Amino acid sequence: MSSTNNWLAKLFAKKSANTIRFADSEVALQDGESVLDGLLRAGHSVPYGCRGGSCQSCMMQCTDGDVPPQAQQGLTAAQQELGYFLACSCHPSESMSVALKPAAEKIIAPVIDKAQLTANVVRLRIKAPLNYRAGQFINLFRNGAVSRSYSLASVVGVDDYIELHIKRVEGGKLSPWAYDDLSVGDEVAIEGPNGQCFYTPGDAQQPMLLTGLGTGLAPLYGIVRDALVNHQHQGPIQLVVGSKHSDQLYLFDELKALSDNYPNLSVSFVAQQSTNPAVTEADIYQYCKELVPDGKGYKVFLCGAESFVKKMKKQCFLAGTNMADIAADAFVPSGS
Amino acid sequence: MFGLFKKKEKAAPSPEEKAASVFDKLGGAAAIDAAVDIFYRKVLADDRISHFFDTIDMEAQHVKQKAFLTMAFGGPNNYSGKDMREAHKHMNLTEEHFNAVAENLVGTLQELGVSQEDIDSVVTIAVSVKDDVLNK
Repeated sequence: MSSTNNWLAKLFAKKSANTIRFADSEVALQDGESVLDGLLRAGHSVPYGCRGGSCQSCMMQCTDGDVPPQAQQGLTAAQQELGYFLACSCHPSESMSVALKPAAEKIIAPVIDKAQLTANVVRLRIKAPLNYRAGQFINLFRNGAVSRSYSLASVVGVDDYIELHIKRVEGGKLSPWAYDDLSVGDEVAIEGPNGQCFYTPGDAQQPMLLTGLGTGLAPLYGIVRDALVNHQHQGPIQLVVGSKHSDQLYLFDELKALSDNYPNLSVSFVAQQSTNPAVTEADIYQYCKELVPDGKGYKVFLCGAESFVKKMKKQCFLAGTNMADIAADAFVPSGS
Repeated sequence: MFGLFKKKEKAAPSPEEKAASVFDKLGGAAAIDAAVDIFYRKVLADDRISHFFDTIDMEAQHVKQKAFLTMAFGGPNNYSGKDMREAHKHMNLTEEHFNAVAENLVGTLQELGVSQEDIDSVVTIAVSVKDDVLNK
Protein backbone atom coordinates (compact mmCIF):
# COMPACT_ATOMS: atom_id res chain seq x y z
CA MET A 1 0.00 0.00 0.00
CA SER A 2 2.61 2.46 1.03
CA SER A 3 4.72 1.58 -1.98
CA THR A 4 1.71 2.32 -4.18
CA ASN A 5 1.34 5.68 -2.48
CA ASN A 6 4.97 6.32 -3.04
CA TRP A 7 4.65 5.45 -6.66
CA LEU A 8 1.59 7.68 -7.03
CA ALA A 9 3.34 10.56 -5.31
CA LYS A 10 6.31 10.23 -7.61
CA LEU A 11 4.11 10.09 -10.65
CA PHE A 12 2.12 13.11 -9.49
CA ALA A 13 5.24 15.08 -8.67
CA LYS A 14 6.63 14.37 -12.09
CA LYS A 15 3.46 15.53 -13.78
CA SER A 16 3.04 18.75 -11.84
CA ALA A 17 6.66 19.87 -12.09
CA ASN A 18 7.33 22.71 -14.53
CA THR A 19 9.63 21.32 -17.10
CA ILE A 20 12.03 23.58 -18.95
CA ARG A 21 13.11 22.25 -22.31
CA PHE A 22 16.51 23.61 -23.29
CA ALA A 23 19.18 22.45 -25.72
CA ASP A 24 17.63 18.99 -26.30
CA SER A 25 17.26 18.29 -22.60
CA GLU A 26 14.62 18.74 -19.92
CA VAL A 27 14.98 20.28 -16.49
CA ALA A 28 12.22 19.97 -13.90
CA LEU A 29 12.10 23.13 -11.81
CA GLN A 30 12.10 22.72 -8.06
CA ASP A 31 9.86 24.72 -5.76
CA GLY A 32 10.49 28.45 -6.07
CA GLU A 33 13.30 27.95 -8.52
CA SER A 34 13.74 30.36 -11.42
CA VAL A 35 14.45 29.17 -14.96
CA LEU A 36 18.01 30.46 -14.55
CA ASP A 37 18.60 28.62 -11.28
CA GLY A 38 17.10 25.42 -12.68
CA LEU A 39 19.28 25.48 -15.79
CA LEU A 40 22.42 26.26 -13.80
CA ARG A 41 21.65 23.50 -11.31
CA ALA A 42 21.32 21.06 -14.21
CA GLY A 43 24.79 22.08 -15.33
CA HIS A 44 23.83 24.22 -18.32
CA SER A 45 25.86 27.28 -19.16
CA VAL A 46 23.69 30.39 -19.19
CA PRO A 47 25.12 33.91 -18.93
CA TYR A 48 23.81 35.89 -15.96
CA GLY A 49 24.67 38.89 -13.79
CA CYS A 50 22.56 40.61 -11.13
CA ARG A 51 19.90 37.87 -10.73
CA GLY A 52 17.56 40.72 -9.84
CA GLY A 53 15.98 41.46 -13.21
CA SER A 54 18.07 44.55 -13.89
CA CYS A 55 21.20 43.75 -15.84
CA GLN A 56 19.45 41.68 -18.54
CA SER A 57 22.50 39.43 -18.90
CA CYS A 58 20.33 36.32 -18.62
CA MET A 59 17.96 37.25 -21.43
CA MET A 60 16.65 34.14 -23.18
CA GLN A 61 13.96 33.42 -25.72
CA CYS A 62 10.82 31.39 -25.14
CA THR A 63 10.17 29.16 -28.16
CA ASP A 64 7.12 27.40 -26.77
CA GLY A 65 4.82 28.10 -23.81
CA ASP A 66 3.82 31.23 -21.93
CA VAL A 67 6.18 33.77 -20.37
CA PRO A 68 5.07 35.12 -16.96
CA PRO A 69 4.75 38.95 -17.23
CA GLN A 70 7.24 39.65 -14.41
CA ALA A 71 9.95 37.91 -16.46
CA GLN A 72 9.57 40.59 -19.15
CA GLN A 73 9.67 43.58 -16.82
CA GLY A 74 11.75 46.34 -18.40
CA LEU A 75 12.09 44.72 -21.83
CA THR A 76 11.09 46.65 -24.92
CA ALA A 77 7.81 45.89 -26.66
CA ALA A 78 9.79 44.35 -29.53
CA GLN A 79 11.73 42.08 -27.17
CA GLN A 80 8.51 41.00 -25.48
CA GLU A 81 6.90 40.23 -28.78
CA LEU A 82 9.86 38.05 -29.76
CA GLY A 83 9.35 36.05 -26.57
CA TYR A 84 12.49 37.33 -24.85
CA PHE A 85 12.51 37.12 -21.09
CA LEU A 86 14.86 37.32 -18.12
CA ALA A 87 15.62 33.81 -16.89
CA CYS A 88 16.43 35.01 -13.35
CA SER A 89 12.94 36.48 -12.91
CA CYS A 90 11.07 33.69 -14.63
CA HIS A 91 8.97 31.42 -12.42
CA PRO A 92 6.66 29.76 -14.92
CA SER A 93 3.44 28.10 -13.84
CA GLU A 94 3.62 25.76 -16.83
CA SER A 95 6.29 24.12 -18.90
CA MET A 96 8.30 26.18 -21.38
CA SER A 97 10.79 25.62 -24.16
CA VAL A 98 13.63 28.11 -24.02
CA ALA A 99 16.69 28.97 -26.08
CA LEU A 100 19.72 31.16 -25.64
CA LYS A 101 19.55 32.69 -29.08
CA PRO A 102 16.73 32.91 -31.57
CA ALA A 103 16.86 29.82 -33.69
CA ALA A 104 18.01 30.86 -37.15
CA GLU A 105 16.21 29.55 -40.17
CA LYS A 106 18.17 28.94 -43.38
CA ILE A 107 16.32 29.08 -46.66
CA ILE A 108 17.34 28.62 -50.29
CA ALA A 109 15.19 30.76 -52.58
CA PRO A 110 15.25 32.24 -56.09
CA VAL A 111 15.81 35.88 -57.04
CA ILE A 112 12.65 36.94 -58.88
CA ASP A 113 13.42 40.59 -59.60
CA LYS A 114 16.41 42.91 -59.76
CA ALA A 115 16.19 46.65 -60.38
CA GLN A 116 18.46 49.67 -60.15
CA LEU A 117 17.47 52.14 -57.39
CA THR A 118 20.39 54.59 -57.59
CA ALA A 119 23.80 54.65 -59.28
CA ASN A 120 25.12 52.12 -56.75
CA VAL A 121 22.08 50.54 -55.08
CA VAL A 122 20.06 47.63 -56.48
CA ARG A 123 16.80 46.20 -55.29
CA LEU A 124 16.60 42.41 -55.05
CA ARG A 125 13.36 40.56 -54.62
CA ILE A 126 13.65 36.97 -53.44
CA LYS A 127 10.78 34.51 -53.31
CA ALA A 128 11.46 33.23 -49.81
CA PRO A 129 8.80 31.82 -47.48
CA LEU A 130 10.15 33.66 -44.47
CA ASN A 131 8.22 34.62 -41.37
CA TYR A 132 9.52 38.00 -40.18
CA ARG A 133 8.60 41.46 -38.94
CA ALA A 134 9.09 44.34 -41.37
CA GLY A 135 12.29 46.14 -40.40
CA GLN A 136 14.18 43.03 -39.32
CA PHE A 137 17.23 41.87 -41.26
CA ILE A 138 18.50 38.64 -42.80
CA ASN A 139 21.92 37.29 -43.66
CA LEU A 140 22.51 36.82 -47.36
CA PHE A 141 25.09 34.13 -48.22
CA ARG A 142 27.50 33.89 -51.11
CA ASN A 143 28.68 30.31 -51.79
CA GLY A 144 27.26 29.32 -48.42
CA ALA A 145 30.28 30.80 -46.67
CA VAL A 146 30.45 34.60 -46.82
CA SER A 147 27.41 36.39 -45.48
CA ARG A 148 26.31 39.96 -44.92
CA SER A 149 23.26 41.38 -43.17
CA TYR A 150 20.60 43.23 -45.13
CA SER A 151 17.43 44.83 -43.84
CA LEU A 152 14.07 43.72 -45.17
CA ALA A 153 12.16 46.44 -47.06
CA SER A 154 9.22 44.13 -47.65
CA VAL A 155 6.17 43.52 -45.48
CA VAL A 156 4.51 40.21 -44.59
CA GLY A 157 0.92 40.22 -45.82
CA VAL A 158 1.64 42.94 -48.38
CA ASP A 159 4.55 41.55 -50.43
CA ASP A 160 4.84 37.88 -51.36
CA TYR A 161 8.63 38.18 -51.67
CA ILE A 162 11.38 39.60 -49.50
CA GLU A 163 13.02 42.79 -50.71
CA LEU A 164 16.60 43.93 -50.08
CA HIS A 165 18.32 47.18 -51.05
CA ILE A 166 21.96 46.41 -51.70
CA LYS A 167 24.57 49.11 -51.94
CA ARG A 168 27.68 48.19 -53.90
CA VAL A 169 30.67 48.51 -51.57
CA GLU A 170 33.91 48.61 -53.56
CA GLY A 171 36.17 45.73 -52.49
CA GLY A 172 33.37 44.11 -50.48
CA LYS A 173 33.08 40.33 -50.38
CA LEU A 174 29.38 40.14 -50.98
CA SER A 175 27.83 43.31 -52.38
CA PRO A 176 29.80 43.54 -55.69
CA TRP A 177 28.78 39.92 -56.37
CA ALA A 178 25.13 40.61 -55.55
CA TYR A 179 25.22 43.85 -57.51
CA ASP A 180 27.12 42.69 -60.62
CA ASP A 181 26.66 38.93 -60.92
CA LEU A 182 23.44 37.87 -59.26
CA SER A 183 20.60 37.52 -61.78
CA VAL A 184 16.91 36.76 -61.79
CA GLY A 185 16.44 33.01 -61.48
CA ASP A 186 19.58 32.45 -59.39
CA GLU A 187 19.08 30.76 -56.05
CA VAL A 188 20.52 32.29 -52.91
CA ALA A 189 20.77 31.19 -49.29
CA ILE A 190 19.40 33.43 -46.57
CA GLU A 191 19.24 33.07 -42.83
CA GLY A 192 17.11 34.90 -40.32
CA PRO A 193 15.28 36.98 -39.46
CA ASN A 194 17.12 38.94 -36.77
CA GLY A 195 16.74 42.35 -35.19
CA GLN A 196 14.38 44.22 -32.93
CA CYS A 197 13.70 47.31 -35.00
CA PHE A 198 10.07 46.82 -36.02
CA TYR A 199 6.60 48.21 -35.39
CA THR A 200 4.84 46.89 -32.32
CA PRO A 201 1.09 47.44 -32.22
CA GLY A 202 -0.02 49.18 -29.07
CA ASP A 203 -1.01 52.81 -29.23
CA ALA A 204 -2.36 53.45 -32.75
CA GLN A 205 -2.46 57.19 -32.02
CA GLN A 206 1.17 57.54 -31.00
CA PRO A 207 3.11 60.04 -33.14
CA MET A 208 6.06 58.46 -34.91
CA LEU A 209 9.34 59.68 -36.36
CA LEU A 210 11.21 57.39 -38.75
CA THR A 211 14.52 58.61 -40.02
CA GLY A 212 17.39 57.04 -41.90
CA LEU A 213 20.34 57.62 -44.16
CA GLY A 214 20.82 56.06 -47.60
CA THR A 215 19.72 52.43 -47.66
CA GLY A 216 18.50 52.96 -44.10
CA LEU A 217 15.31 53.64 -46.02
CA ALA A 218 14.93 49.89 -46.66
CA PRO A 219 13.80 48.87 -43.15
CA LEU A 220 11.91 52.13 -42.69
CA TYR A 221 9.95 51.50 -45.90
CA GLY A 222 8.95 48.14 -44.44
CA ILE A 223 8.14 49.49 -40.98
CA VAL A 224 6.05 52.42 -42.21
CA ARG A 225 3.94 50.19 -44.48
CA ASP A 226 3.57 47.58 -41.74
CA ALA A 227 2.26 50.33 -39.42
CA LEU A 228 -0.10 51.83 -41.99
CA VAL A 229 -1.32 48.83 -43.98
CA ASN A 230 -1.21 45.94 -41.50
CA HIS A 231 -1.88 47.84 -38.27
CA GLN A 232 -3.91 50.89 -39.38
CA HIS A 233 -1.71 53.26 -37.43
CA GLN A 234 -3.65 56.52 -36.99
CA GLY A 235 -1.15 58.88 -35.34
CA PRO A 236 0.97 61.28 -37.38
CA ILE A 237 4.03 59.66 -38.97
CA GLN A 238 7.06 61.64 -40.12
CA LEU A 239 9.45 59.81 -42.42
CA VAL A 240 12.73 61.64 -43.06
CA VAL A 241 15.30 60.16 -45.43
CA GLY A 242 18.69 61.74 -45.87
CA SER A 243 21.94 61.44 -47.80
CA LYS A 244 24.99 63.44 -48.79
CA HIS A 245 23.72 64.10 -52.31
CA SER A 246 20.15 64.02 -53.59
CA ASP A 247 21.04 61.49 -56.30
CA GLN A 248 21.65 58.89 -53.57
CA LEU A 249 17.96 58.96 -52.62
CA TYR A 250 15.26 56.72 -54.09
CA LEU A 251 11.64 55.48 -53.81
CA PHE A 252 10.30 58.98 -54.57
CA ASP A 253 7.24 57.71 -56.48
CA GLU A 254 6.45 54.88 -54.08
CA LEU A 255 6.54 57.16 -51.03
CA LYS A 256 4.55 59.87 -52.81
CA ALA A 257 1.84 57.30 -53.58
CA LEU A 258 1.91 56.03 -49.98
CA SER A 259 1.53 59.49 -48.44
CA ASP A 260 -1.28 60.29 -50.91
CA ASN A 261 -3.09 57.19 -49.68
CA TYR A 262 -2.39 57.79 -46.00
CA PRO A 263 -2.82 61.47 -45.02
CA ASN A 264 -1.23 60.87 -41.59
CA LEU A 265 2.09 60.10 -43.32
CA SER A 266 4.40 62.87 -44.40
CA VAL A 267 7.67 62.14 -46.14
CA SER A 268 10.73 64.41 -46.36
CA PHE A 269 13.84 63.90 -48.44
CA VAL A 270 16.87 65.88 -47.29
CA ALA A 271 20.46 66.01 -48.56
CA GLN A 272 23.51 68.10 -47.82
CA GLN A 273 23.65 68.87 -51.54
CA SER A 274 20.55 68.78 -53.69
CA THR A 275 19.98 69.03 -57.43
CA ASN A 276 16.47 67.63 -57.13
CA PRO A 277 13.53 69.96 -56.34
CA ALA A 278 11.90 67.13 -54.34
CA VAL A 279 14.88 67.05 -51.97
CA THR A 280 15.44 69.76 -49.36
CA GLU A 281 19.01 70.91 -48.84
CA ALA A 282 19.45 70.57 -45.09
CA ASP A 283 21.33 68.96 -42.25
CA ILE A 284 19.22 65.95 -41.24
CA TYR A 285 19.80 66.46 -37.49
CA GLN A 286 18.71 70.10 -37.65
CA TYR A 287 15.83 69.17 -39.92
CA CYS A 288 14.49 66.56 -37.49
CA LYS A 289 15.00 68.90 -34.55
CA GLU A 290 12.80 71.52 -36.20
CA LEU A 291 10.27 68.95 -37.41
CA VAL A 292 9.86 67.39 -33.96
CA PRO A 293 11.04 69.94 -31.38
CA ASP A 294 9.35 68.02 -28.55
CA GLY A 295 9.87 64.27 -28.81
CA LYS A 296 7.81 63.42 -25.74
CA GLY A 297 5.44 60.55 -26.40
CA TYR A 298 6.99 59.75 -29.78
CA LYS A 299 7.92 56.34 -31.12
CA VAL A 300 11.19 56.69 -33.03
CA PHE A 301 12.83 54.41 -35.60
CA LEU A 302 16.44 55.07 -36.67
CA CYS A 303 18.26 53.22 -39.43
CA GLY A 304 21.57 53.87 -41.11
CA ALA A 305 25.27 54.20 -40.40
CA GLU A 306 26.26 53.66 -36.76
CA SER A 307 27.45 57.25 -36.25
CA PHE A 308 24.11 58.57 -37.50
CA VAL A 309 22.08 56.24 -35.31
CA LYS A 310 24.15 57.11 -32.25
CA LYS A 311 23.90 60.85 -32.71
CA MET A 312 20.21 60.81 -33.61
CA LYS A 313 19.36 58.52 -30.71
CA LYS A 314 20.92 60.97 -28.29
CA GLN A 315 19.18 63.90 -29.94
CA CYS A 316 15.76 62.21 -29.78
CA PHE A 317 16.27 61.10 -26.19
CA LEU A 318 17.28 64.60 -25.11
CA ALA A 319 14.24 65.96 -26.98
CA GLY A 320 12.06 63.94 -24.60
CA THR A 321 11.50 60.54 -26.22
CA ASN A 322 11.58 57.58 -23.84
CA MET A 323 14.55 55.28 -24.35
CA ALA A 324 12.17 52.31 -24.62
CA ASP A 325 10.41 54.08 -27.51
CA ILE A 326 13.54 54.46 -29.63
CA ALA A 327 14.14 51.49 -31.94
CA ALA A 328 17.33 51.54 -33.93
CA ASP A 329 19.18 49.49 -36.49
CA ALA A 330 22.77 50.57 -37.02
CA PHE A 331 24.47 49.39 -40.20
CA VAL A 332 27.90 48.24 -39.18
CA PRO A 333 30.58 47.72 -41.84
CA SER A 334 31.99 44.19 -41.91
CA GLY A 335 35.44 43.57 -40.53
CA SER A 336 36.51 40.97 -43.05
CA MET B 1 6.16 44.90 36.95
CA PHE B 2 5.11 45.34 33.37
CA GLY B 3 8.58 46.62 32.79
CA LEU B 4 9.73 43.04 32.92
CA PHE B 5 7.70 42.23 29.88
CA LYS B 6 8.52 45.42 28.07
CA LYS B 7 8.58 44.87 24.36
CA LYS B 8 11.90 45.11 22.68
CA GLU B 9 12.33 48.57 21.15
CA LYS B 10 11.76 48.44 17.46
CA ALA B 11 15.03 49.24 15.75
CA ALA B 12 15.04 52.36 13.61
CA PRO B 13 14.79 51.40 9.92
CA SER B 14 18.09 51.26 8.08
CA PRO B 15 18.67 53.44 4.98
CA GLU B 16 18.13 50.29 2.91
CA GLU B 17 14.76 49.66 4.53
CA LYS B 18 13.74 53.28 4.12
CA ALA B 19 14.86 53.33 0.51
CA ALA B 20 13.00 50.09 -0.17
CA SER B 21 9.84 51.99 0.62
CA VAL B 22 10.86 54.52 -2.04
CA PHE B 23 11.09 51.70 -4.57
CA ASP B 24 7.54 50.67 -3.71
CA LYS B 25 6.24 54.23 -3.49
CA LEU B 26 7.54 54.95 -6.99
CA GLY B 27 5.69 51.91 -8.28
CA GLY B 28 8.32 49.18 -8.35
CA ALA B 29 10.37 47.99 -11.29
CA ALA B 30 7.99 49.34 -13.93
CA ALA B 31 8.33 52.89 -12.63
CA ILE B 32 12.11 52.71 -12.52
CA ASP B 33 12.21 52.91 -16.32
CA ALA B 34 10.62 56.35 -16.25
CA ALA B 35 13.00 57.46 -13.49
CA VAL B 36 16.01 56.22 -15.47
CA ASP B 37 14.90 58.25 -18.51
CA ILE B 38 14.67 61.44 -16.45
CA PHE B 39 17.94 60.77 -14.64
CA TYR B 40 19.92 59.83 -17.74
CA ARG B 41 18.58 62.83 -19.67
CA LYS B 42 19.80 65.11 -16.87
CA VAL B 43 23.21 63.45 -16.84
CA LEU B 44 23.62 63.81 -20.62
CA ALA B 45 22.64 67.46 -20.45
CA ASP B 46 25.10 68.21 -17.64
CA ASP B 47 28.26 69.83 -19.07
CA ARG B 48 30.32 68.72 -16.07
CA ILE B 49 29.91 65.03 -16.94
CA SER B 50 28.20 64.66 -20.33
CA HIS B 51 31.51 64.17 -22.19
CA PHE B 52 32.04 60.87 -20.37
CA PHE B 53 29.00 59.55 -22.21
CA ASP B 54 29.92 60.68 -25.74
CA THR B 55 31.11 57.34 -27.06
CA ILE B 56 29.12 54.86 -25.01
CA ASP B 57 26.26 52.63 -26.13
CA MET B 58 23.20 54.43 -24.80
CA GLU B 59 21.09 51.31 -24.39
CA ALA B 60 23.73 49.42 -22.48
CA GLN B 61 24.26 52.49 -20.32
CA HIS B 62 20.52 52.76 -19.76
CA VAL B 63 20.44 49.19 -18.46
CA LYS B 64 23.34 49.92 -16.10
CA GLN B 65 21.69 53.08 -14.82
CA LYS B 66 18.56 51.10 -14.18
CA ALA B 67 20.55 48.63 -12.10
CA PHE B 68 22.10 51.52 -10.18
CA LEU B 69 18.78 53.30 -9.52
CA THR B 70 17.11 50.03 -8.52
CA MET B 71 19.85 49.61 -5.94
CA ALA B 72 19.65 53.25 -4.79
CA PHE B 73 15.87 52.95 -4.42
CA GLY B 74 16.28 49.80 -2.36
CA GLY B 75 14.83 47.45 -4.97
CA PRO B 76 15.96 43.86 -5.51
CA ASN B 77 19.59 43.92 -6.58
CA ASN B 78 22.84 42.11 -6.27
CA TYR B 79 25.23 45.02 -5.96
CA SER B 80 28.80 44.01 -5.16
CA GLY B 81 30.71 47.15 -6.07
CA LYS B 82 33.09 45.17 -8.27
CA ASP B 83 31.50 46.17 -11.57
CA MET B 84 31.09 49.75 -10.43
CA ARG B 85 34.76 49.97 -9.54
CA GLU B 86 35.91 48.22 -12.71
CA ALA B 87 33.78 50.41 -14.99
CA HIS B 88 34.98 53.71 -13.54
CA LYS B 89 38.58 52.79 -12.81
CA HIS B 90 40.25 54.47 -15.77
CA MET B 91 38.06 57.56 -15.94
CA ASN B 92 40.00 59.77 -13.51
CA LEU B 93 36.83 60.84 -11.77
CA THR B 94 36.81 63.45 -9.07
CA GLU B 95 34.53 64.44 -6.22
CA GLU B 96 33.00 67.07 -8.51
CA HIS B 97 31.93 64.45 -11.05
CA PHE B 98 30.40 62.29 -8.34
CA ASN B 99 28.53 65.24 -6.88
CA ALA B 100 27.18 66.17 -10.31
CA VAL B 101 25.65 62.70 -10.66
CA ALA B 102 24.27 62.89 -7.12
CA GLU B 103 22.68 66.28 -7.86
CA ASN B 104 21.04 64.86 -10.96
CA LEU B 105 19.71 62.00 -8.89
CA VAL B 106 18.20 64.41 -6.37
CA GLY B 107 16.73 66.48 -9.22
CA THR B 108 15.15 63.33 -10.66
CA LEU B 109 13.55 62.40 -7.35
CA GLN B 110 12.26 65.94 -6.87
CA GLU B 111 10.74 65.84 -10.32
CA LEU B 112 9.01 62.59 -9.40
CA GLY B 113 7.56 64.20 -6.27
CA VAL B 114 9.53 62.13 -3.77
CA SER B 115 9.59 63.59 -0.24
CA GLN B 116 12.79 65.12 1.17
CA GLU B 117 13.01 62.41 3.81
CA ASP B 118 12.90 59.68 1.17
CA ILE B 119 15.37 61.57 -1.01
CA ASP B 120 17.76 61.60 1.94
CA SER B 121 17.63 57.82 2.33
CA VAL B 122 18.20 57.29 -1.40
CA VAL B 123 21.14 59.69 -1.37
CA THR B 124 22.62 57.86 1.63
CA ILE B 125 22.69 54.66 -0.40
CA ALA B 126 23.99 56.39 -3.52
CA VAL B 127 26.82 57.97 -1.55
CA SER B 128 27.75 54.53 -0.22
CA VAL B 129 29.09 53.61 -3.68
CA LYS B 130 31.32 56.68 -3.84
CA ASP B 131 34.56 54.91 -2.95
CA ASP B 132 33.89 52.28 -5.61
CA VAL B 133 33.24 54.91 -8.25
CA LEU B 134 36.23 57.07 -7.34
CA ASN B 135 38.40 53.96 -6.98
CA LYS B 136 39.44 54.76 -3.43
